[in-house]
Amino acid sequence: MIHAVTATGIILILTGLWCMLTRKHIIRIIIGFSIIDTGIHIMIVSTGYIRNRTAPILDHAVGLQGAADKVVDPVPSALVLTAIVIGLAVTALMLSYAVKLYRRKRTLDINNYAELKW
Amino acid sequence: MVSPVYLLVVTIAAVFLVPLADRIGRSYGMSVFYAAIAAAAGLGLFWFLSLRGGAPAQNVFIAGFTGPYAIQLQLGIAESFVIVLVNTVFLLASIVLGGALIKEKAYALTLMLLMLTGINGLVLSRDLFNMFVFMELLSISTYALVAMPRNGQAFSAGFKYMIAGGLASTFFLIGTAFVYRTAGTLHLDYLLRSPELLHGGVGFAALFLVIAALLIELKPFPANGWALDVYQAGHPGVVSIITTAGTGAVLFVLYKLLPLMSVRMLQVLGGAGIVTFVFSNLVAIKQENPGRLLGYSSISQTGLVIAGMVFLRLFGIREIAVYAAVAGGLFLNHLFVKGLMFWLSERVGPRPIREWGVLAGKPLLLFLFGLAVVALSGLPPFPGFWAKWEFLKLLAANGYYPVLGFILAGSLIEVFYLFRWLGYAAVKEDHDTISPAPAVTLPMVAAAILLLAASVFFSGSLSVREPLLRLIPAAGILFYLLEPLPGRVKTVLALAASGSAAVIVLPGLSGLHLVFGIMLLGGSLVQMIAGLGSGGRRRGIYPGMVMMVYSFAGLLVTETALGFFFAWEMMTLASYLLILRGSRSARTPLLYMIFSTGGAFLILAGLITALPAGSLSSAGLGDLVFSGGTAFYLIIAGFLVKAGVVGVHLWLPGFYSEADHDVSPILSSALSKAAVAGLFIFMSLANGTVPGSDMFSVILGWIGGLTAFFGTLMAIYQEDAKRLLAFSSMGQMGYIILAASLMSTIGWTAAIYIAVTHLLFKGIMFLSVGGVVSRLNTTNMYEMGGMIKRMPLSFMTFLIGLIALSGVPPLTGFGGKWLLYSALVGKGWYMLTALALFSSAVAFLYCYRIIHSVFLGQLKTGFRAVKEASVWYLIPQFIFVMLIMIFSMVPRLLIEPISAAVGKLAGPDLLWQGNTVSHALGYWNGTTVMMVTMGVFMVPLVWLLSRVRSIQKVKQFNIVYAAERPDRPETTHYAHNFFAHYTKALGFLSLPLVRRFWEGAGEWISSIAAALRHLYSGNGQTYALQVMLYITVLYLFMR
Repeated sequence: MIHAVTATGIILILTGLWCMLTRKHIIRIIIGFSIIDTGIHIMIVSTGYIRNRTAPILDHAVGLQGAADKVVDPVPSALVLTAIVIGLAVTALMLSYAVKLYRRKRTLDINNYAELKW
Repeated sequence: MVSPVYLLVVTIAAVFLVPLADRIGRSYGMSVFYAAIAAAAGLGLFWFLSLRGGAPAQNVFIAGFTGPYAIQLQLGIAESFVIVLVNTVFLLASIVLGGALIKEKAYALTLMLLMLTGINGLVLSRDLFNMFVFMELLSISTYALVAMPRNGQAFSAGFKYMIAGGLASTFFLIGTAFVYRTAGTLHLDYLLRSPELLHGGVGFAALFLVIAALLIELKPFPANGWALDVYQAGHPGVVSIITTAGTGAVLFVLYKLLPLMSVRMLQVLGGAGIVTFVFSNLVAIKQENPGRLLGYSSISQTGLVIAGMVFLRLFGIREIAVYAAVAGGLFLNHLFVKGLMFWLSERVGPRPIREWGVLAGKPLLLFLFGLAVVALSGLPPFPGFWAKWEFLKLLAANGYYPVLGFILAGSLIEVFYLFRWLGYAAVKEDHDTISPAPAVTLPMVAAAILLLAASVFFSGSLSVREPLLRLIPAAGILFYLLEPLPGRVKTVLALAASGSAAVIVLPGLSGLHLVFGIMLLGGSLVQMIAGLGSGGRRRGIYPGMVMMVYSFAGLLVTETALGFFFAWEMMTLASYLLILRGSRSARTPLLYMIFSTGGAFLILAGLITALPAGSLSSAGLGDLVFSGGTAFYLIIAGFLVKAGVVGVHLWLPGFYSEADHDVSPILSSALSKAAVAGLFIFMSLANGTVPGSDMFSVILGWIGGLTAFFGTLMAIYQEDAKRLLAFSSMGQMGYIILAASLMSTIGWTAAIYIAVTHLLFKGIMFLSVGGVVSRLNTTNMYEMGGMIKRMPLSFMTFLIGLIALSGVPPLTGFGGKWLLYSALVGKGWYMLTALALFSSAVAFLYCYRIIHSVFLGQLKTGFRAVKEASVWYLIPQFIFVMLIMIFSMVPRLLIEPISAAVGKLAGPDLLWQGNTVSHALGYWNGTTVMMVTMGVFMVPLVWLLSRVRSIQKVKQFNIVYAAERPDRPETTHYAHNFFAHYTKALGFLSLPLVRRFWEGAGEWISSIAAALRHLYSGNGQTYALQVMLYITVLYLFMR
């Protein structure tokens, strides 16, 4: 059975993909990409989820003793942190490209940027 | 050994140090930058050498954890091999980029260093998520660096790249997440221990996404439009890093994941590689922009490397050495060549490939470009050649013949567009020039030297142990270095080099090999003397000439299949260089290269098919198995293409006629015999073991007969003296093949006898005409005439050559025809006998035409003062004339050794009684025939001499036009369109049907390419859609 959070992640990914492939406006394409990223992050976190367990943070509520049985799998959470940082960098770079493109042609329609082809 | 962590530490530390040092001064920042990259390359070399020396592989676990929780870096021999290559080429590319980087702020340098960190991390890492991180590091720095030219094209290309790259990362991340969910680990070594974890539904999908993402990063056809835009718009230095080091790192990740894949996955992945290889090459043929063309070529090469390693895995090969030999060799070849070519495109600047003639005035750059083209085409001695041989051999051994065919087809297309480009570069058309830039030239020279060093390394690790073969490329390079010397000095040196090769090689040969050795080496040597007749530097002749002669020697000496093919390809390359220099148009060398390579590929396919099962690379020629038939027929077909039989003769007239006047004779008389030598070597190897040989010999006979007929027929309509002789050579090759097809003692003796005499008389005729042409500076026969008065010696030798050619008694030609007709009639092939006889009759027409138009008739006013041809042209002619005279007087001297070399075949032997040779159908005494003919000749001669006073000389203006006003001046000349009246009877046979056929085929291929490239619409969103569709289709295939 697919977990509800996983399902949300997948729906976000598909929404983002649809957005990327159908919107012509470059900013919207970037937003689509960002939505995909968020969806992936949610999905990755959900893969580490174990029912009735808490966040993998070793504070006094969890305690060091037997922590492995009380928390969810910490690895996906750790991975997501890295993935979020990378996603941020990529989005920022995309946006700066958008700025550069706009300054050249005063348009953000992706159809206007097809001078290189064949 | 130094821990692999330091490889990453060096570059990351530099990322922080460079901006600090840059505050002090630009040069400090640059110094730190270069020092870091050089250190990385040095570390790579150090590791590679120590691991090769037997040091154990290293595994490093970072942060105190052990696997699977820690970041693990592995450094084995394979890793160190890739590390040393990619860091070296990165260093060279950074030097090329120096001029551009120095204008940027310090963060351009840090981006470069991050890129290198990503590349090295990808190679070392053993963990999927770490690979993701390093891949993103590489991608993000690349996205940013693509924008470096700061123009609209670069920005839009960079953005498209980001969309596609972003999608690929997305899939990689999703795949990684699900791999973790299914297998509970992302650690490669743990995954490899239980690959079945990933064979279920979710596990498969997870692995699929990871692989698909990697494949997208490797730019598979057709989901790669974004990459092409980047190749076209980015700075060539940056692009060269993307396509060499960046691609190399991703390829290595794919290599690491290979053991996880199922058979089905491997098959589809291999197929994707092949499709990419073939179609990227196909689309490239319509490309004019050098950056984009190199992009297509890079992508195709990447596809080939993918296919290489995937198929090896599919065949269950585990030895790293085999992967290094195939995928490693292909990659290394691509790495240095593509680096070199992109950097060269930086030097040449924004010119379409048609305008690369600017290189023609720059010998070093042209040499580097030529080297790159040759290496990229998979020609020897470069690593690509050895790697392709090994790869194709494994494909054949495992029965993957269609894949083999596709690779050869793709390679042929590649040869076409690369050599077309080289043709543009070699022909200087404008006085435009490019300014010197040592910062770009030095890395190119370094790449070329590394490539050559790697060639030695690869050729050593494989099988060519025959030292002579190594000398072929070495001799070429040596004579390239001697180019500044005067032409005559080089001729003497070339004669010495070739002569010593002959002296060393010939005593070791026996039988047919010895006969062909004397023909090829001796024939070339004698004709090389003519080179002394031309002054000047004569650049570009002797590297090719000496390489060709050494290849002849190599062909005859080698005992291995690989060695034979090596020498054969070197010979093709050498002769290409000769025609490239001499030709007036770019078309002739290109046609020659395409047909020769096509023929060579047929031979290659045959050779590897005939290799005995489980053979090493050093399988001997004698071990080849021809019992399947196919292999043998492929090889023979290859030699027939090289011989220029009718149907594939398109390259022939230009090739034999357009080279320099002292080179054409060698090509037409000696080089043409190499195909004959190959034919005989393999026919005697396979004799009796090939099924269906009766049918084979009938087909071969008709091919020979028709070639003789059409070659002769086309010769009579030529206006150009050298072209006429070229077509005549085609006809003579037809006789040789016809005689060879008889498979009997007399037939083979006849074939080799004709080959020898053809060598002699065609050498004479080409040299004689060459001597005339070099004085008159025209090859049009109607512009000549009366040369008998100005060049009596040339006329005399030419006449003797002509009599030998025509096959009338008493000269050697008669013996050839006598043997041929005897053998044909003895076999009962009456139709072919008639065809051969008819062709000989037609040959009289062109013999008459050429001697009449060139030597007889009126002497033109402008040529009244021309002198006899250079004595250096006459010496080889007289040597050949003497040989013809001796062999005509005493045919036994020639026929007996030949029939001894041929040995015992089917049919009756030739019997000797004194100077009389006889067989079942008749006898011939050459000495008597000579005397009788001489006697018959003397009677009218004496009569004519006695009446010499009453001769009325025809004057120049004794001709009237019967009131017709000529529309073009040459139409008034009797020698123009000499055989116009015969076109009514025979003209329909000489319509250029063959040319139309090949042009049509070319047109079709070109149209397909033109249609295919419209896939690349230029729209970033379309490219994203193509990526999605590609992944979907890939999933359906792999499922």
